[in-house]
Amino acid sequence: MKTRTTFDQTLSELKQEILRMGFHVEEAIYRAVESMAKQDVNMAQSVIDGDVLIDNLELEIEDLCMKLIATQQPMAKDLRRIAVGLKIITDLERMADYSCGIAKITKRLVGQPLIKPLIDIPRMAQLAQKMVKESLDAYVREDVGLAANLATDDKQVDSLHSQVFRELLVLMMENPKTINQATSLLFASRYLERIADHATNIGERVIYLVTGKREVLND
Amino acid sequence: MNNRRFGDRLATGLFWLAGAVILGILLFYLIFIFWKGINVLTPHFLLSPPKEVAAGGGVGPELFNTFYILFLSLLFSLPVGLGAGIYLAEYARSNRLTYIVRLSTESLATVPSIVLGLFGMIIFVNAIGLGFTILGGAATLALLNLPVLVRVTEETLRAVPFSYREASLALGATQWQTIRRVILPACFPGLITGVTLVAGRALGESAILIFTAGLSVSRHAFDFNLFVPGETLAVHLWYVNAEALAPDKDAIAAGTSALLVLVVLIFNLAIGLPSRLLQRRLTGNK
Amino acid sequence: MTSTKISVQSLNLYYKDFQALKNVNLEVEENQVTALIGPSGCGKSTFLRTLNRMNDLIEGVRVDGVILLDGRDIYRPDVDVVNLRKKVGMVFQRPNPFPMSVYDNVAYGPRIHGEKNKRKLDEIVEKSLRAAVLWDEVQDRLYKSALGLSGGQQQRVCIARLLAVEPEVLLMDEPTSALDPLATLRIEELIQVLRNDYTIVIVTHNMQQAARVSGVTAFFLNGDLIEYGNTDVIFTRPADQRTEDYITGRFG
Repeated sequence: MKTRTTFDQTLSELKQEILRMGFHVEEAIYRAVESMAKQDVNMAQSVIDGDVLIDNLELEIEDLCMKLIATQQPMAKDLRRIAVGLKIITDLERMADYSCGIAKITKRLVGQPLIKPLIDIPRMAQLAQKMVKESLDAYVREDVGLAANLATDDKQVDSLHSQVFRELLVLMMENPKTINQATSLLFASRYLERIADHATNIGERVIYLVTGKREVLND
Repeated sequence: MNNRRFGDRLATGLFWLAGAVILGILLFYLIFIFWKGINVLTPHFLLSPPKEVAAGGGVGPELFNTFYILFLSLLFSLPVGLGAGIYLAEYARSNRLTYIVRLSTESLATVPSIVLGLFGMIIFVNAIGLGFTILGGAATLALLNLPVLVRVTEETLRAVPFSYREASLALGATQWQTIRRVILPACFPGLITGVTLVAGRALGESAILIFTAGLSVSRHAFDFNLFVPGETLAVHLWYVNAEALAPDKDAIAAGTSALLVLVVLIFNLAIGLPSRLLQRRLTGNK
Repeated sequence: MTSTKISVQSLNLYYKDFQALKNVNLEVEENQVTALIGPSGCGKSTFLRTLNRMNDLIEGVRVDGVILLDGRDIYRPDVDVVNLRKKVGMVFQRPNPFPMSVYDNVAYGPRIHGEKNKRKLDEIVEKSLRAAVLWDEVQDRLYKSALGLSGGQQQRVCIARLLAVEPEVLLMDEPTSALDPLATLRIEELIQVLRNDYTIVIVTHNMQQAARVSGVTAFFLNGDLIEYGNTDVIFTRPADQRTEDYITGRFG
């Protein structure tokens, strides 16, 4: 006999909503970095404008979680599902903010020739985007293995970030005029590194959700 | 739809009618009996001894004997009846002995009173050789009371919620403490009702007493002697109707009937009222 | 810090041919609220009643195993059940005050245990009613029938009646299942206060209640003790899938 059908339906609705929010965040990361590579102001602006949508989604999902807690008295795994959902949307919202940050940098750099071709930063963006997708897949499928894998990707993003950092440092030392643009690019790289960290946060929570144990994926 | 409603009304009407018929019969009896007998009930009639052949006899000794024998029979039957009832309700496990005790009381309850009367005569009057006595009458009457008392006690005790017993035992009370301090007080009103029923039946009993307590009365007023014959009101009523020679025997019979009904009524009220007050105090209903 | 008040070891209980409890091992901590949860017929109430031998009242019940209260086995033949029940008192599912005055209800226990001094009884009654947070509500009607009180008040009369015999352990068998939500919360508050002085074991169908009032929770299923541990652990990350299914309401 199946009990709590309504509750289960609302729970899967919650997961769908979080996936939707995650999709918008992925999109924002991709478009922010793409706009930077192509120096496309309009695309950058669309990322900034789209942030409102993501903020609203966060509030909507938060309300849904609170409604579930208040009306269904979730316990044990149900409680963890909802609590983890609440934390995930905060992570996603921060990611969107970082994407906005990158888009703002794009707008600031418009018209300046780039001091170096963007290679590592788009790679970081690709990885970060993949991590967001995988962390959310792990949440929806409650897949511990997938969540644990995020640690590997995160290490790669970290090392790309330090590579970018070293390269830009060299450029700045060679030519102080590049400092302005280089620090901006450094920030962009830093933002992407943070996005990856948030994705590992999600992975850690998924592991807690499934096993009830706390694990650190990001060290 | 209409049919169902009509059926409902019809049923209501029929039950109402049945109730009215009962009430009507009762009222008719009461009015009829009092109409005929109330004039006879003078202080003289209530206090003076009966006369065998002359008019103007009373029912004083009979009135006294009625209560005296009732009192004695209750004195004999109450301890045994209550005790057996308590045993059956509280202590007895379901085994052969309990079964036999229960069967015996039930059989005893169905024995016609005339059989009990003859039995009492054989035992007390003939075998023991007491002759017609108040003692023999009261003892035989006790046999009539006994099964009802046992049943009433057992039923009343069983009606007390098990939760009272649990609560008391869980506080560390013994079984006897539980029975004495919780169960018995809680069923006191019920027991009183039971005793009233038994007493009412005993008050009107004649067949048993004709053969055991006899048809004559002591020459002394209010004779507490257990070994003299003691005719009661009910027996006197039968006697007056059946065999009396007194010229005013119809009036005496009518008066005795009215008095008997009156006694039962007063007896019920006198016991029922305090028990209702007690019930109110126990349950806290305003 | 915590010490064991009751230790249950390999407890089996049979009702005629039916085994109602299967090899239960459990430690009840002193001054702690232990909640027993599980579906109907899982044996939690039966288990509760083994702790003060209320099952003795039912014909056909057989118990083996050991229950130590302060280290002494309560099922040894020389144990005085009356004394045991004085130490391990019980509150029942439905409020069951006796049909007598509030005062007589509370004084019942001390009286059957031999207290006759009127002044002493007055003291005990007031103290117990205060401890049950009922004094203010009933002090004007101490000598009226307890059956005239509301359900929640009646249940607190029962608790006061129990406290009056100064037990060490309070067993509560779904004490709020017959009460409205407000009365329920008052009883739960009371349990929190009482826990400082007593060891409490409570059976409840209401999982929220178990989560609110208890420090330790034990989950029973079909006579087995499936899992027991700190309440916050049981309700956030139980170890056993059956516990999980039960407390998330997906019990099939």
